[in-house]
Amino acid sequence: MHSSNKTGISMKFWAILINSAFPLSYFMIFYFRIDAKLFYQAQQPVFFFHWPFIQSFTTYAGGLNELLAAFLTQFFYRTWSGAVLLTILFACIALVSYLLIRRLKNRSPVLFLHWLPTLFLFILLHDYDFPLAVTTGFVLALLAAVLFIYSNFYNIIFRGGIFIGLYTVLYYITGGPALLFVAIVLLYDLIYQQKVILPAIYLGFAFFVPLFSSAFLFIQTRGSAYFLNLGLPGEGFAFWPAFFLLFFFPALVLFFGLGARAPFSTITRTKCVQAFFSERTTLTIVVQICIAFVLSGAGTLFFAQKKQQAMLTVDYAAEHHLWQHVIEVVQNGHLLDTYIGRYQLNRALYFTGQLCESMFAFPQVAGYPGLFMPENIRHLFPIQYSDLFYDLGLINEAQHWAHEALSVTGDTPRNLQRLALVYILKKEYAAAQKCLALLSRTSRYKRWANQLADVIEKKDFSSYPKLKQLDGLMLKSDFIVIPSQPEVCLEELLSVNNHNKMAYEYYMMGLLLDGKVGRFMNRLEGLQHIHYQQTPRHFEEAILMYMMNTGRRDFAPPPAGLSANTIAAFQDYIGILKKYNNPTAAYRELAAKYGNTYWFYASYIYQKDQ
Amino acid sequence: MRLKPYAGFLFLLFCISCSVHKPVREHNAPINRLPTIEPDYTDIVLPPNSAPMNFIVQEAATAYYVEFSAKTGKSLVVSSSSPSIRIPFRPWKELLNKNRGHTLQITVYIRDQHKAWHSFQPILNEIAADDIQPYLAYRLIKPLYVYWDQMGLYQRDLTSFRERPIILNRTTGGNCVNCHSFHNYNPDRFLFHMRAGEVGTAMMLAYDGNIYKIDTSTSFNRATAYRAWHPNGQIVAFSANTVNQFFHTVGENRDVYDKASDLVLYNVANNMITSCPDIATSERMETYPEWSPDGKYLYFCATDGLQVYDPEGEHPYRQIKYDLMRIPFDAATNFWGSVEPVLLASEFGQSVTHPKVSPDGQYVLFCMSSYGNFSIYKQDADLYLLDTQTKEYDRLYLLNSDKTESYHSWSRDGRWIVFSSKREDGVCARPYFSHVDASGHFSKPYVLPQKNPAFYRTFFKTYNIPEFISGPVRVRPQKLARSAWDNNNVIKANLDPKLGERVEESEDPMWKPVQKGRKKI
Repeated sequence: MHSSNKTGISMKFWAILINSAFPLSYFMIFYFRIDAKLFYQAQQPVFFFHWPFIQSFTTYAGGLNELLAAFLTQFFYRTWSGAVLLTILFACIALVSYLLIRRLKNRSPVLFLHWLPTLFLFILLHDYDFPLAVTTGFVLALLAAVLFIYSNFYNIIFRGGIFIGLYTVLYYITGGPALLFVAIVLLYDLIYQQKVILPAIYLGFAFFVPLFSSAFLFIQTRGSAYFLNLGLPGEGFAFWPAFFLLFFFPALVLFFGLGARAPFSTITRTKCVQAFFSERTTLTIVVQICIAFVLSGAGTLFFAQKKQQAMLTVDYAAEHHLWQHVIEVVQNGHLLDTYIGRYQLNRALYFTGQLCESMFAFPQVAGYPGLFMPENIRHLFPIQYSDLFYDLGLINEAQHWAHEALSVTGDTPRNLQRLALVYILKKEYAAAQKCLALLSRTSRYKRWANQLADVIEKKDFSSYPKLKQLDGLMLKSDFIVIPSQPEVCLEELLSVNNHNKMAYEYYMMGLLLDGKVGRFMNRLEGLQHIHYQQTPRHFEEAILMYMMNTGRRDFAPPPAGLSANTIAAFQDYIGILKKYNNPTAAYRELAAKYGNTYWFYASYIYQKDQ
Repeated sequence: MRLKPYAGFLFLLFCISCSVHKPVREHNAPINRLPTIEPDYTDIVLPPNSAPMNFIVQEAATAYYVEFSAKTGKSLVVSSSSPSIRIPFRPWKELLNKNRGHTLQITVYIRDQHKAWHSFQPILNEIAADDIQPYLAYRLIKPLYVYWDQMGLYQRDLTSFRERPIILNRTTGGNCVNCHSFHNYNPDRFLFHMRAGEVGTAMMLAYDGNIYKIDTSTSFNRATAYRAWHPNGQIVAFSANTVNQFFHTVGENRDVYDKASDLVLYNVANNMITSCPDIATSERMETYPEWSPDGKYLYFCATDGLQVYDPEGEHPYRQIKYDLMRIPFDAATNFWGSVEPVLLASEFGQSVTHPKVSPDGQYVLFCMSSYGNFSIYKQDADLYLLDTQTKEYDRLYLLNSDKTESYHSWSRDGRWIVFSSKREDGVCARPYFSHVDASGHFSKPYVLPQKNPAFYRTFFKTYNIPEFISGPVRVRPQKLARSAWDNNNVIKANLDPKLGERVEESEDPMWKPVQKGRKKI
């Protein structure tokens, strides 16, 4: 790099500033804004220190890179380690890019040019499903390209030999990203080394090796043999960043290689281009830096996956029983219009003791499916659906959906943990031990697995109160689960154990959501088994409404009676209705004053949906 | 000091110091019981061409010394500081081969914390005179509920540890591959089904080097399922089932019943689906076809159609019990006889599945459980043997466990059987082998040996439909996958004009592929 520019400010200063500002910013954003642990939550990566697991990645081109990514993704378990990992990977990319650019042109025309590919990756990483294998594959391909370009063998045989060796190894390790390597070295040799035969050989290799390997060596489709983890635009992630990332280096080789030659020189030698790219003044540097920040800022704003982030945050919080956080994020993350948002919200309301108190403070427009996800999305959230049955004590259904999760998301620790617990509860210890044996081969869950193995050995649940509690809730007699009627399961659970508070509340609130107030009233006697200090507010609201609508008093009165506040509120509610003499006209005032009551739900939301 | 000249000597010293010495017999303190080993390879009959039966000694010790000896040949010794005993391949093969029909004695010595050696009672296993067929084909799949992801058909060399895929569904768009079947153990003639996904529902038929993709559904039958090759290699009997899966709240939570099922025949030569009224009646559900080795009888399981049950009453799944039937058939003239009952299991409250006739035609090995036809989900499913002459049957106590025993097949010479059992953990089925002697007695079964004896502790897949084959499948998986994707050359099966149309509208399938891609909420 040149030591100074026209203003006299040391170029070293700018270089240090840029090379420290970028990684620092990345770390901060991955830590504070993107929250790197959510990658773990989204992808649920699996990595076992277990030879059969490792061996399974050796059976196809690109497998070893996926194995590396699977290992590295474990760092996403914590926000800080995930942020550090991504920052290091980005720094690696910048370093390799810097070496590559330096070989192409003595002096980089843009100070942060080597950080530019990381900007595209950074934008792509706003999508939590973006696989780390694309990033690691990209790093390895660039590294191979640098090794090749810096090798000083120009004899056609040596150079060809080096290419074949590097390409073959790279292809086996990374799969698709080897194509990027070929594109870079092909253009480099064609333009910079003025060679024709070798690039033709490279092209032939890039075409025939995946073809041959998918036909004879590895059992993988042709598409995957060519493009696995290349991060092709149009694979479901942000198109333009993926496009720029992929074509950045080939375009750079073309630009630097052909820029000085006609006819391109007519463009590259214009004053404007010269001023921006060649003359390093403070102004151009500041402009360049501003462009970098604008680019990243615009990318962040445009490609941010806010809803996905909120959803994953809720999932994380629910998994770790941070129920108040679930409620906050569902509200603030605009997830109330999603089934999964409502489902997790209602779980959180139950666990914070608010289900029967404040459930209607949240828009329950989904009705009953807000408690139990609708059937058509359950397979998308199988382990989350299993959570509900596990908490309810319906262990067979928890097992069913944990197994579905095993098919949908793989042998993730979360799925294996659930299965281990389920099989322990079902006293099927050999099956539980299988899950624990797998978990003991992970770095993070080894201890947990060993503790559970102790539980099995001693057949003693005392150190796991949750297991002890669930053991008492489990069903004793068999019946067939009707997926569309989960309330039947709740009835059965209550018939086994009428102290099952969760089953009772879900059952009763389900009846209210479904408008089945008559059946709700018939099950009021269940209140005496749950021991509420006060009758839950929504129960009171339903009772008052029922009494007014039917004039009947033939039901089991709640042991704690009805509160004077609720009665007064109901009278006020009726008063407002009467005042307007028209429910539609009364809507606005009632929504403002009683929008959080069952009366309002029953009058406006439930009826509207029906 | 120059160590190089002594390096070899030092290395030898190091090795000696690290090695486990042979226990001196006089100092042995005998333990008067058999050692506990995993997998349980005690009191078994093993094939002389078996892969080494590696095992773990489940006895706490600081060192292990295991001696394998037989009547002739040199003893084989494995010493180890870990309880995992891995037997060297060649000496094992030599020892077994030289001692066909004799006893293999396995003596396990362990060294305790005080460096004293103890020997257990020797394990005495019989080496059969008969080789086992060299290959086994099976499907590997995670315990399946509704959604599946990765699965594949595999072949395992039983004389070594080599396992290779026949087809992996990751190359066929993640569809379901199932119900593989080989004609007369021939690895060059086999079929399997594919369901769902982009490649579509079809049967893949590999026949003497050629591969065909065949749509076996017609206006008479849905896509075919359970299958049996006629010995002539021209006809395949199929069942076409409408399957329904449901879930229990206590015990094994998966269950399946058929809403309807019939048998049809597919003729490979003329690509025609045919049937006869007695095996495709709507009054009865027929399933699990199986030919007698001479091809003169088609065995199958049958039960009443669901219409006999009160549609308003309780779900009848527990009342659905299958009998074992057979029907005479002449392949040359296409003549069908009348259906004959073989075992009316429903009369004593049981249900028969998977009848498999021994190669000499003398026995039928079958599964029996309390109800239904999906024995792999029934914990009480056990194996039984029926004598075709006397029609007497027996529960095979030595083969069965308190968990599921299900799909099974005979070796070509009828001296070995392989069957699926969930005895290990109740969740994943494993292939177990048993020797059958000339008088029809079965030996204690043993699980498929693995290189790593702890393999099954962490292997969370189930072995589905284990079938013997006489050699490796030579068709490459890549070629099968290419043919699977070739939707331009799907052969549509013709329907015998004598059969009328009767298929109802399509139904929602009970097993579904995992939907890849973004979550839509």
